[in-house]
Amino acid sequence: MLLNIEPRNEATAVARLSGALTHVDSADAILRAAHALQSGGCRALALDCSRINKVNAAGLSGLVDVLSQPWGLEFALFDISQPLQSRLSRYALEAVLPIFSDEAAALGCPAFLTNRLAHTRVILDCMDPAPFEAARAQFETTALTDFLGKPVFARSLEQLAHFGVREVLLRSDRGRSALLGHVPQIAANCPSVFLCGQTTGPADRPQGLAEFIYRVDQEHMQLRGDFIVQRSNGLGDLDLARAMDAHQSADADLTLATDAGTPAKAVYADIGRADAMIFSPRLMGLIADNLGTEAINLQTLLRSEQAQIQHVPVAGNWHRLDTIEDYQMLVRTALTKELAPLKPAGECVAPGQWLAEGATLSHRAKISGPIYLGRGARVEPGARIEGPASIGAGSVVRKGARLTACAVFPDSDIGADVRATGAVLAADSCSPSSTPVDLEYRPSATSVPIETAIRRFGATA
Amino acid sequence: MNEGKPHSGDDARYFASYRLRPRPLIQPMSKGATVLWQMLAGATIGLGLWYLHWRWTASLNPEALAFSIVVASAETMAFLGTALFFFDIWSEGDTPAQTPPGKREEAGLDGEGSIHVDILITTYDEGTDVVGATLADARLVRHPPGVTARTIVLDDGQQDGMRALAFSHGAEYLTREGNHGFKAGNLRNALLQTRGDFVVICDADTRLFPGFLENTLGYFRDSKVAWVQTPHWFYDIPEGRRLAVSRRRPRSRFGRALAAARYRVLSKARIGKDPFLSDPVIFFDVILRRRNRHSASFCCGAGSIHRREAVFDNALLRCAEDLRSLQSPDRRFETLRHLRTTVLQPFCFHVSEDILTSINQHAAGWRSVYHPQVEARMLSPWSIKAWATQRLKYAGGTFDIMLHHFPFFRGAMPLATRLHYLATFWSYLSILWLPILFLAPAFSLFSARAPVDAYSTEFFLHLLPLLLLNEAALFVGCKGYDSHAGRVLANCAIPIQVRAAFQVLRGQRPSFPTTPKKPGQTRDWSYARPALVLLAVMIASLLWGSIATFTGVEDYSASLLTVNAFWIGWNAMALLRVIRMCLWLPPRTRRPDRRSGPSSILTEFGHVEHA
Repeated sequence: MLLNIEPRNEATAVARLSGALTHVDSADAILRAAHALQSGGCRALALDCSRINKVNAAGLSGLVDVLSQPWGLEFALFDISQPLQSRLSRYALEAVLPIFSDEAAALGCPAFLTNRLAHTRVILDCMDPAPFEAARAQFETTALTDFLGKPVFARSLEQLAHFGVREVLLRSDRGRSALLGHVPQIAANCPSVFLCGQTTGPADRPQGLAEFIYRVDQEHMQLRGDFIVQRSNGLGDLDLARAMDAHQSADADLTLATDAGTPAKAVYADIGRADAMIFSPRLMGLIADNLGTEAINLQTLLRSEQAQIQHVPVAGNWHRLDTIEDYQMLVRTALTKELAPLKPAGECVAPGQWLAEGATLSHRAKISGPIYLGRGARVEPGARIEGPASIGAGSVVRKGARLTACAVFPDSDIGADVRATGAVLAADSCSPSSTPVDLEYRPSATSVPIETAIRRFGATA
Repeated sequence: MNEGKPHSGDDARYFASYRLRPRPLIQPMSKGATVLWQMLAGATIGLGLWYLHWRWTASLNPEALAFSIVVASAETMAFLGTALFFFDIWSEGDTPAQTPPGKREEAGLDGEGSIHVDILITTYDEGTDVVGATLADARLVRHPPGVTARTIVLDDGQQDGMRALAFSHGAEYLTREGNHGFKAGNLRNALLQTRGDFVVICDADTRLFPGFLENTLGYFRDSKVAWVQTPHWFYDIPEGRRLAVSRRRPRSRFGRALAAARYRVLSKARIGKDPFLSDPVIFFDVILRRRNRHSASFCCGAGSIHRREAVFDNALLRCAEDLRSLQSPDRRFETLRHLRTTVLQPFCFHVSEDILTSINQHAAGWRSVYHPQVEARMLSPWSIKAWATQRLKYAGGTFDIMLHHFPFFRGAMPLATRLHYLATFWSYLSILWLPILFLAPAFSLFSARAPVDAYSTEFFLHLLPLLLLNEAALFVGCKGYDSHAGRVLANCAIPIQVRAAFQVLRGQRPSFPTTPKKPGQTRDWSYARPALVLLAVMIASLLWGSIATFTGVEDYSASLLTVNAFWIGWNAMALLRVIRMCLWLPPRTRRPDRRSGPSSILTEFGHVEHA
């Protein structure tokens, strides 16, 4: 198969394929070209398939294998030839692959995500305090809360990388090591990450988001064009590209993106409920003009200036981590369903079972159902864990402990004789191994919230 | 146990002692035998229906109704299994052999040039001596005109010396990081790096005969044929030793006739033959061969040759199915992201990857062919651990397929093919009724409650003809092979199958242990525990029943004791077989018998090459 590359712009190229797709390595030319394009900064490749004259299952498998390579390059296929069309129809792949009628449709499709945000700066707001007690004791912020081997903000970075975002500013008052130490854990195509918001003391701390943005613009880098502020208070797919499209087509000053379930009225009443905000240059100018010596409230400013605000509910699997129930539910979802953005870190050693580096699982421990063992976690002989369950990094589940559908935070020590069902266990809520504790939480039987259960658990210990 | 260690010199000598064993020539069933078998099978089914009708309408014991119903239900399910089995093996239908295609278009392939075949030898922890012999034989495989072949070692264990071994035999070598997907993952890795139009799947111990390609490629003239499976022949199954029969010549004519008859019978009996009942001849030559009449034989991994196009067709169908289940169609870019978390699986990543792939390919409209003649030899399980590992793997994989990929409702599969698969799965469901039938006699003796109203003449009139006819039908239907061994195997594998079923029902995916290929040198009693417990229960019930009968306890009778004692004895034979497996050790190895002639390798029928 022959390949002819035609760059369209800095981030996009079109590859015209011709010839036969009859061997599993026929698509290797795409692989090589994609590597070269990617090293040159290209993020999106549209494949012109009009001149593919022969296709068989092996050749198509090779193409699918190329498309499935874990790199930061997005593909779209357009102008599909008849032989390829008939093959795709056999497998009903035309309904699930990004296939378009012509080049314009492929490049102009709002769903061609990577290209859409390639030049957009994003501020990842990691200031949200951890909403639930168990996490607060360990991590203080939601962003740093461990979720199946990676902190929440690192997963957000992965999502942003997927949209082609190249520069991310982290808003956090935590130390550099606390945040950036986690950056190498994320994908190879990680955007450049800059840590902002550290202050010399309380007096120096910016009063609100508007002042923070202004300082970033003045002291660190100019926020030219539309930019996004995303809160790191949740996980999943928040379709920022779609929100950006809506923002640009409406020419709004501020676009508030939330998941589809959040009512517009609530978001307009409190813009802090938005999961992401897209600021226009005009709004940035308004902030700069109004920011005097006194702190300004962004909501007040918007009202006084009669800025154009719009709410965009974006579809997707976005899960907010507001309560401990949210956290636990998300752990279960991630372990029982294969959701790409929530995939546990480590290696999948068996269907539904993930082990991170250094995790040890005694062959005499009884394990059933989906389970995740974090880095250096240890499950001792005689322990019994029924999934879906996650054992955080460095945690130890002692002999005789029985956990059912539990999430254990990192560095926890689950003592012998502990019985816990449907609980989130953190380091400070675990018993010494000698203390027998019997904790049963059954949501259907009682109305006791899990937080209460944990407090009771800690108190007993 | 010395699994995982290199062969000792003793082991090598043990293998050498089997090297000269000629491969069997598999004969088709004669027309007369087929008619006889079908008559017997029809009569058995008729008698079975008659028996069950009587059983449900006139023989339930009102004094132990629950027990009686449970046993009758078990008998009914067993009968359904028999009926499905009879359908499975009703008649042979071999696909006519054809000459290998010399041109690509003759094999339904596009393009020009010769036909390429890749012989893939998968290995994980097998020793270099085992793989070396496989490579040496693969090198001797003849290439039909217009066909080129290459041999590739797929080393999932990254063993020292394996690469050098492959190169020394003129083979290529592929390895990968980790072993995700195990054997299926190993094959996937190779299939994405090779281009052969056909791929031969070999385990580390699968030693092909030189005519393998000549005898199997011809079937691919039908472009809808996805794979050809050849029988597994374990060339190292212990033959046992003959009984010592006195050949002293008696003086009287009657004595001489008696001695001759005794010699004829006893000289065929062997002590210690096939201790693990590993000989799969009934499975291959009876079951799989007869499924071929509906093109419903399934792939058994080693010794099969596959059309690459069909393998990747399966991969794409499964991939698309996974993607559709993950995403709504309007978010197609996200499909790519999910695609990056799923793996294209030419052979399904499953503990029973061969049967699951077969089901998928049959459902997609591909055809399969069973080639009845032995074209490769391989090693059998050599220890109770190996046997139990293999049984657990088979059972776990089958239950998992039953639960998650049940083929009876799949795609465009013809009804006959569905019924053949149903027969396979039904046989594994025997854990529902075999334990009942197994324990019913003991329960009867302990409780003095019979599952039938009375052990009357009517009972024997209904049961005995059925049993006798069933035995006769099986004997003829299975071409005289030892069908009793299959039943013993089913009985002694019950604990393992129950364990596998529980694992699957509890959501545990069956694991992928490799079957040890090395002989066990110590006895492992752990696998005998369930059998010993059951045996103890049976003996206790027998003692209890005997004492109660002879002391005249109410409700006990001689007929109750006799009938149940018979069944206990029958069942105990299966349990004793398990214990024998645990006790079995390879015979003391000795140098090959020099009296048998010079060392030679059988390459073709009647053609012996001296090594």
